[in-house]
Amino acid sequence: MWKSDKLNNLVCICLIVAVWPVLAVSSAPLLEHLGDFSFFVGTADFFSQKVFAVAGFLDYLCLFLNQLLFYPWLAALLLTALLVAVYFLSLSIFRIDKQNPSIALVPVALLLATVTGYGRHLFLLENMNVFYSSAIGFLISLCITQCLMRCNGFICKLIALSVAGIVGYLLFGVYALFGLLLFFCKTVSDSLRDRKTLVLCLVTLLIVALLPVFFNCQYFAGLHLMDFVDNKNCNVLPYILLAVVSVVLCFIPVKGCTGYALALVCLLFLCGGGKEFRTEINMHSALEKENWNKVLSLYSNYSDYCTKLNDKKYAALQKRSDKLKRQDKIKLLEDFYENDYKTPNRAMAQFRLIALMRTEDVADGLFNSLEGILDRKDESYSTRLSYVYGAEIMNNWGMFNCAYVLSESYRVHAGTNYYNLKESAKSLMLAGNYKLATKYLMVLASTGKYDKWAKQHLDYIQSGELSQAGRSRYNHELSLAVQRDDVFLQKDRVEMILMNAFVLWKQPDIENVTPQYSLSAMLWALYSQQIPEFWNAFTQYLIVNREAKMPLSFQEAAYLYAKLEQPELLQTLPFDASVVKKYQAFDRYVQKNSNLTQVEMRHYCSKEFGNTFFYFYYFVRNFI
Amino acid sequence: MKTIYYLFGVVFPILVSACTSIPRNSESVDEYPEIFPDNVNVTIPSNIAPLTFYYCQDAQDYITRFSCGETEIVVKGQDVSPSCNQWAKLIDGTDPISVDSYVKDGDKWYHYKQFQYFKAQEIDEYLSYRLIPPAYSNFNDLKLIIRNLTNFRERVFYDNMNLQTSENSQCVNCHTFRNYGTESMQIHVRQYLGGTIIFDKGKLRKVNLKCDSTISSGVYPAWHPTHDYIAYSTNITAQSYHTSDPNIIEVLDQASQLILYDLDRNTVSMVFNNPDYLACYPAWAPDGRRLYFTAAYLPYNAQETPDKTRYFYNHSTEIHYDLYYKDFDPATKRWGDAVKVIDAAGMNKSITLPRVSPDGRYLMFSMGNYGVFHLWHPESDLYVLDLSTGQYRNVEEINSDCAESYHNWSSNGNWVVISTRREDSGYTRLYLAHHNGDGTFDKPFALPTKNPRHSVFLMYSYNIPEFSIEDIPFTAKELSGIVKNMQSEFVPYGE
Repeated sequence: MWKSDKLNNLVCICLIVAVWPVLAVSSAPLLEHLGDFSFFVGTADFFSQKVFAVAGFLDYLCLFLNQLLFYPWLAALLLTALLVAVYFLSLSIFRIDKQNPSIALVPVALLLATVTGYGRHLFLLENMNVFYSSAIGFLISLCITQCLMRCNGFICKLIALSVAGIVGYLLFGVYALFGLLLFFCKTVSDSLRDRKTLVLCLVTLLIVALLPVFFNCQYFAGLHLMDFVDNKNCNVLPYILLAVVSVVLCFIPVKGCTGYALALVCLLFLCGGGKEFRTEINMHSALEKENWNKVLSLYSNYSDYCTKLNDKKYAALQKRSDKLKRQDKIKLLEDFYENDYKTPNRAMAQFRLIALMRTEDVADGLFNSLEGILDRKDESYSTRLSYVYGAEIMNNWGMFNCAYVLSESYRVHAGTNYYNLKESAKSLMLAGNYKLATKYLMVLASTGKYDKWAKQHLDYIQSGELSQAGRSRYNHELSLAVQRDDVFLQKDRVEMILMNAFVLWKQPDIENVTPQYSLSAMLWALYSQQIPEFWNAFTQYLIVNREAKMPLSFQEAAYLYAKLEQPELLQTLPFDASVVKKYQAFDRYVQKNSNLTQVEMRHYCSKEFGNTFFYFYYFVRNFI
Repeated sequence: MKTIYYLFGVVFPILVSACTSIPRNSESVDEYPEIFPDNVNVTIPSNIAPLTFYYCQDAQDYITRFSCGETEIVVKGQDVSPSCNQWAKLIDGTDPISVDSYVKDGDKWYHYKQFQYFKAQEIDEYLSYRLIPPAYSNFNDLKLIIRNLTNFRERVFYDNMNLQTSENSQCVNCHTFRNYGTESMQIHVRQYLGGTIIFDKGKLRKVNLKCDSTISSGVYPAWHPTHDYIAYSTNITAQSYHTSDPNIIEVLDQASQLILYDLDRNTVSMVFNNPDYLACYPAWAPDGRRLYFTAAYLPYNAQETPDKTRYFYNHSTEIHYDLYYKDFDPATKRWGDAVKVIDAAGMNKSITLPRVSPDGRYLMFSMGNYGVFHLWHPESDLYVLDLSTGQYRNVEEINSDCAESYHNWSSNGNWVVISTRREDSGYTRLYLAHHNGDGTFDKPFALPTKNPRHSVFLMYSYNIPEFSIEDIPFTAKELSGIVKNMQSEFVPYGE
């Protein structure tokens, strides 16, 4: 029979190692979404650009390790190894009962929570560094603490402290300081026996306090530090908990099997809070498997969850605002919509739209009352359609300028995103700008994943093949290129404007119109709430999709068009009876409750009409 | 004894084989090697950092010999980067540096035609610029950098990532110096914590030049060479996107004026203000008695298009800036009338960025087909105007088939730095060219970088290059602190 400490250790390690397949299997679909990986080139310049900044070395290291994400199982294995290392270091550093080491699982669980980005979206991150920087960073903290604890002698400790502090901070940033802080806590908790220990503590505190004053730390958890502090999407709770728990464990010995329970509570608590994240992951996973119904069902469940939450908050606000003046009441409710209104996030909305497009019931339930807030300022919603169609719109349908502009605006610089760089290169080749395409191809040729593609296209360019036979592949796309030039001013909406031009100006010959093209043209018009333009696209859609059933959302828009512009169509077009009834009910409701404020009207309308185009048209703003 | 045998038998041969020797039997090729950047037969300053390049062709081996007088340096490899110590020996003296290229293709060595680096006068020790990604809807991650041209050292003297947040973004540029010295300098910060930071004779101030009479705060600055004035343009600028024109981006003003900021009195006064004109890019003559600028005539017709911004974009190709000047008396602050120097509109062209040489003899400007921002116009080229004769010409020897734009003279007038997109048509790079003193220039060469492939992998554009003879007296942290902690002082209008 093994001794209890060895058995406990084994159980703990097995629990940690179990993370490996879980993370690999659940994350593989999203980790394989190659386009969103952080960019890395193994050149001296890239190295010096990164390392130049405080904590840049850790950032560089993590960018390098991110390349493993192309191989999810390997990436997950490395992460698991880091967690195991953290476990053992925790055992060594903290006041953990060696007979029952399970409490060491708590920092591991919390670290896992930071790594998996509780509350964040792993695969739509602009910067993937959080995946490893948190794990390696915390490991660095523990290593520094361990090294300092193992130094013998006062002078040795002092020197180690200074070197670890200064050099560690320059290389690893805040994590090195945290290591020093843990050392301080350990020293204090081991009792301040003598003057030398006191001096060590004071020196530690000085280094921790003064270094950031002289050297700005640029990076933390894979982001620029200011972004991390300021970013609403970045949940700092697990980081705070990890720091607090680590400090507490320096002081308080924990005995018994409480570790398992605590670790479980941590995970449950944090996983419970990550409903949004889990839903998103599951939706993406279902999408990859082309399980459209599951995507829609997950979305629907999450929508219901958001609706219940919003209803509760709204009811509470109504109570609170009963005694307020009308203006203040309106302000309160508007603020709620602006800041606290829970909705499916952009990724979920995209997945749902993709699933809808792929199912036969496309656009029957196109609109969702939760999408698009009254005067929502979040401009990320403004680019939704291009995210849905992505490369198909930008490259296959000839929006070359758009692809180039968008790729640049998504910061294809200093290594951000392979996918956009590749799309940029393709877009430029199609547009005939081989000079700039060559630059991007040379950069991609130095990466691990796109090097073959890039080298092949470099050869095409150099041999002239791309300008001759190679381009015949793209004849269809080239024929759809926007011919008429115009300038558009709206920042961040350029692809919507280009779609406008593409949809409205350059209508391809009807024999070249694919169902997908006509559908997306109409979708654009619907989402931009341009009824006359919708009608143009709608008539084309009717020609191309003669056999298909006319989806309800499109009927709703057509009915609204008829009501507003051409009433005679109401008699001639075969609208579904349910569409007519819905509109009449909507119209009656709005007339009856005309005394309500816009916000109140919207809230009450959303219950019955939230999934109709009528509601979308009249109440949703700034969606595109 | 064994040790000695070991040294001679093993180590010595290794050392010998590591020494690079010139191939003896090589076939001569009567053309220059294809290298990047193309620094073949360029004229270089006698104090410049080492010029590096790489061979564009794939081959088995490469040997490059640099020779100057008795000095000879041999470098092996496709990337040719002589060290600063090696370069120091070569750059010494007035003899040109000869470069012989040997390339091994298959089993044969080929000796390409020798080219040279011709030496000329020294260049200012420092060059400041902004590194900016060519992003169109965000301006995160801007850095102002000062580079020592005699070596490869760069220093960031402002980094907007120190202050901006994801919700409060900040743009920074327009770093300029008076008379190439940094004891009087300014930078402009926009949006978050915005203001113009002016450092003059040990005194710091942060000002907001927007008042009731001006349409915006100061934008393009020009320090008066002798008195405490700074001329600015004020601009309402917008950026737009083409749907199919390969120029991609159009930056246009819909209103602009010229103002003069008096540092002593802390007042702003008008220099040029006509609502039918768009005035921009002030530039002083070296004696400070004349201000050159560009102005375009385009009266706004509200009846045609109620949306003013849309109006200007609809007429963007009709916006042609001419070159003007106004005489100025620094003692009395009196201005003369605006005098047109070049009628670019008459040629259906547009002039931007006039810059007068330090001896006052020449004026270099950029000219494109229309508009005020020529970096997105590949047809834009640099021209030089002889101020004594009034003749101007296209400086073909330094232009390319891509955009050439923002340029500046060195303090001795022997060099110009030009912003150009010649390398890849998308990212702005800096090139230096020697001025022969008579309005002609030698072939430009790329700003030297330690890694010859630096330009390929750099995803930033260089912007606003400005020479200076000394380093900037602030660290990035200090400047960030100044920007953050100083309140912007409102500057009133006054004569």
